[in-house]
Amino acid sequence: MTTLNKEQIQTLVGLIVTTESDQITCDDCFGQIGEFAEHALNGRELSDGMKIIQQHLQQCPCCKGEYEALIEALREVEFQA
Amino acid sequence: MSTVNHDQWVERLKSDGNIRDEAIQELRDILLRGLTATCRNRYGNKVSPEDVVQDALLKVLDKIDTFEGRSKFTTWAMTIAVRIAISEMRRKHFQDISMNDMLSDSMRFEPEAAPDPTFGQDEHKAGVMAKLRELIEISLTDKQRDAVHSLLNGMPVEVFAEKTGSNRNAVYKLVHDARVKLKQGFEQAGYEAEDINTLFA
Repeated sequence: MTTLNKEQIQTLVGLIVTTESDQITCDDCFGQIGEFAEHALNGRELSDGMKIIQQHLQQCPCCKGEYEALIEALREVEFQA
Repeated sequence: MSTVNHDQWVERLKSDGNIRDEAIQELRDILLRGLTATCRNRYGNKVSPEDVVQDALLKVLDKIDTFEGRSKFTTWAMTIAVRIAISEMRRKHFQDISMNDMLSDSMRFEPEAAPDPTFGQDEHKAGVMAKLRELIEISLTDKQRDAVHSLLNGMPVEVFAEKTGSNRNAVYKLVHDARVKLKQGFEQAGYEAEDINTLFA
């Protein structure tokens, strides 16, 4: 059997205890991530629809990584409202 | 960022001749700047932004009729470009790693009893570890164990999906369902999430 090291166990425990319901898929998230990023960059309050995206990002490391990369790219091109 | 509004972007990119060429060049420059930031220091710098930007432009032009105006046009285009770049970075980063490497010899995996002196010594923590081991063994399917194990080895669900002939949405749901099962298992055994988190912080 494979064993997990301390870091992996901590990651797994973190994933377990932070698990919440998620109503959307990664594709759904991708369809709205641009709008969500603009909300974040402009400091706008999140609508209920945008909160669902936020919840998915908290649950999905893959989408979160892409979102962080997008924010970095938008900041680089001097995103303005 | 360009001050051209999104209707103008679409109109220019769908026109002919110089207007279209100039719009494409302008968009290319914007995407390249963003991608240069994105590709820096991610997944070992194995992807060049110049290599990605052409694919991104082609995809943006191909999908231009699906743009709904929910965000700025350039944000929408950047979203597509970044997705292509990150996918390519992940694919290259994991291209030489087989699923066998990720899963070792196991269809099961077992938390190590005492990886270092600070682990597994406390009775309560040992109880949580035993419960975690039990839940992994009993509650999860083989596919869920494989997906979770790959995730813990750093493999994004997107890459796992590609290597197993599945799709990203399905693998994400597989992992999420596994997390829900493990969380519910702890709760049913009387463990509070906050307590567990404190133990392993």
